[in-house]
Amino acid sequence: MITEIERRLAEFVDRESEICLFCDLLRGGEKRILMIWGGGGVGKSSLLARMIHECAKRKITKAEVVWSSTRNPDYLAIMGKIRDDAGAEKFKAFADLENSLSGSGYELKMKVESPSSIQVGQGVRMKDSQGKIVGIEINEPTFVLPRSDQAIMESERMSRLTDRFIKDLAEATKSVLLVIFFDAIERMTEETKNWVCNELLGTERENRLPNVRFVLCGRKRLCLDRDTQILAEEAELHPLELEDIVHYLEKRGVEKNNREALAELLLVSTHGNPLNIAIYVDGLFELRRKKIHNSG
Amino acid sequence: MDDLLEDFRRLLKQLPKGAPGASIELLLAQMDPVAARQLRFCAIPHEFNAPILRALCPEMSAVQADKRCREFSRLSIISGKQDNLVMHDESHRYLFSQWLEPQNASEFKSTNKRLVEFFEQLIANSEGNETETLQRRRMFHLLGYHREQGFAEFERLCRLNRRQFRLSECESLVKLVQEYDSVLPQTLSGRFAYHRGKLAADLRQWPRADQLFNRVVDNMELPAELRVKAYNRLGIIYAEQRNWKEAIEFHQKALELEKTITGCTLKAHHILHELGVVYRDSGDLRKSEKLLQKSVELASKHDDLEGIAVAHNSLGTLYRKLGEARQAIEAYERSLEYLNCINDKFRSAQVYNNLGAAYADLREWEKSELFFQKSLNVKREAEDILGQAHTYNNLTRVYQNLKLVDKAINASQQAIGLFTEMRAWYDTAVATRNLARLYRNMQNVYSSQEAFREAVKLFEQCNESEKAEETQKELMTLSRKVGLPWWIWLAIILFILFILLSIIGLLSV
Repeated sequence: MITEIERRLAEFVDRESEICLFCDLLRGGEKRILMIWGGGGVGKSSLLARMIHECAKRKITKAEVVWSSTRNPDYLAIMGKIRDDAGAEKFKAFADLENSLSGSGYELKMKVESPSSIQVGQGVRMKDSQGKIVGIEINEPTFVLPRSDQAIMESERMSRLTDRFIKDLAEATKSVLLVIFFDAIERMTEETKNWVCNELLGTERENRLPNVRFVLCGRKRLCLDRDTQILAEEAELHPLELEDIVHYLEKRGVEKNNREALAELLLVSTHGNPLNIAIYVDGLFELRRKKIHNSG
Repeated sequence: MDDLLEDFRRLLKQLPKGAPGASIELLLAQMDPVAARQLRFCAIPHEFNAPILRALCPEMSAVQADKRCREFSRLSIISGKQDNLVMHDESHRYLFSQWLEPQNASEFKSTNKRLVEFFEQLIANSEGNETETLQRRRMFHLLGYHREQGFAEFERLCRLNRRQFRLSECESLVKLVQEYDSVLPQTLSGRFAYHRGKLAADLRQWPRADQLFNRVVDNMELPAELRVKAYNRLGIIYAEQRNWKEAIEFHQKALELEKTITGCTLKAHHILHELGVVYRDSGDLRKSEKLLQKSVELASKHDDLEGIAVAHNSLGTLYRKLGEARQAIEAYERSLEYLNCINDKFRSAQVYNNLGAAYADLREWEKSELFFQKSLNVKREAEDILGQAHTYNNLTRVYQNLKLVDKAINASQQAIGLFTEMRAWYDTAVATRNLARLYRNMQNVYSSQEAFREAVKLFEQCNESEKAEETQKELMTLSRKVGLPWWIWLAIILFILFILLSIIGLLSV
């Protein structure tokens, strides 16, 4: 059964120039940040999916942070997500600091349950000592509540954690490229936006993360300071043109003799908005199914 | 397909031109009516899966819900996000707005009730980040089911997060409530504006905060207590911007209105305290004294120990400004007594710091050092790095006057190190300049010059060009004063004399 990602990639059209910009970003060079923006339904998330696929093809590590109505990552959640995607084991110092600033008398206690007995290394023959066998992998939970016995201001906590995180991230990406994707950045809160622009993207200005690249997608262009702007490439997504719509209809399996006429119809009705085009085509196929069902 | 194309053309012609949601309406019209109805329900939550779909449409079995979710996942408007399905923003917004229309109110309410119960069950078995997310979702649906209860939950969550200064979380909650903007009753709308004003003020977005609080005070239909609070907040935000006249006006309006109502949660002594601080900071010290003393009096009547402690501390700072250091010390000590009663050790650290400063005014350096150290100890325990930096900076002056030069330099360097760690560049600049002056007093010219240069750079980094210029002038003055030490001049003169005498001697020979 085809997955949603596979479907999106199979139906992806146009946006060659944006993909080129992305490939340039991966190649290394002056530009470290790619900003994609455009109105609702213009295909930003689909383009992001295409870029993520490109990373998978090239075996490049990636991290993805997405904002939605109910999931609103703040600076802590962003760092946590990047940490988890890049490999949490490389961020031990950051995790320790995060926990010390969150849990008074912090002591990790885990209740491990299993339907049957847990046996580790059964039947394994070892010649020499192999050290400890880890039978159960414990993922560090994220404690988000600040300690009540400390008077640390939130800004102070933010600075300390960010500093530690950047250091660990630099170490973790010393010899590997990491691409960090941000989607729906228009949903970021003001505080998070300031942190992303000043603290996170600011590291590119200072070349503290030479092997990290950022791709940001949103409805509006993010305003960066002058020094960071130099390192950024920007692309505004525009509605599709007629030939792109024809190409899309081909990918959706519309018969060749109807594509041009249908594409013209769709262009007039949607002004080239990819989402509306896709919805109308869904509607067309439902109509066809209904007709077949009624005549059958 | 050609017939189909004609049918499709006809359908498109029937749709109102440029109408929002035209494409989604066409799609829903072609779908199986049951499926279409279920898809509309999926626009009530922000994300859905099979269990949520069953909560939305309880007539479905688990198998049916699973199957339907798989069907929906193939639609272009649906995407998958971490085991859930999400409708595209544009479609979601359109369909949700239809749910807010009066003809759908009853069904919308009962569906949200089921969703509230659904999320309550999930919350009971969750922890950490997941609990927060679920609480937000529950709050959102509680608003859909019962506006008052939902809004009370919003206020509770907002208060909790504001106390922890998690402003991002507060912003997220505000955005969720905003989805109900068109159907919020007026009183809730007013309360909502008040909370958004507080958040804007926390984020130092003054014009936005001003606009929101004014919306509250201008609406006579809103409860008087809310308007009192809004007036008081307006006073606070104008004071932050050092607009004393407006700050005073708004605090006074808050006071006048507070007198007309009974049982207001914002007591007069709080407002009097704010007003007293405004007068103090704007220079009308005697008026400030009267107001702060009145605040203490009223706080005592209400047994508000925290209020009494805060007012005494502010009085202490006032007396320092009046040059009455002994009275300041008394006031700070009284503040400490009350803070100890309520076991507020963090504020005690601030008062110890103020006591240190008051004793420094009296040039009682040993006592000053004692209190700064007490402040430092509490702040160290609380890992308040910025607080420690400020106290180390204060200690520099004390050690200098105690002629403990090494300690003074050490304290200064500690302050600089901690300010740098916190990236408080302006404070780092000030502390570095203090260190430069210290070195200058010690006649350590080279170190002094280095520190002045660093301070200039830091002030420029913070766009404090005036301060940078002043510091540059100090550096240049220092350079001008630098010349050869006296013994070199003596050596040169003696050498010249020796040459002259030698020449004279030779000539006479």
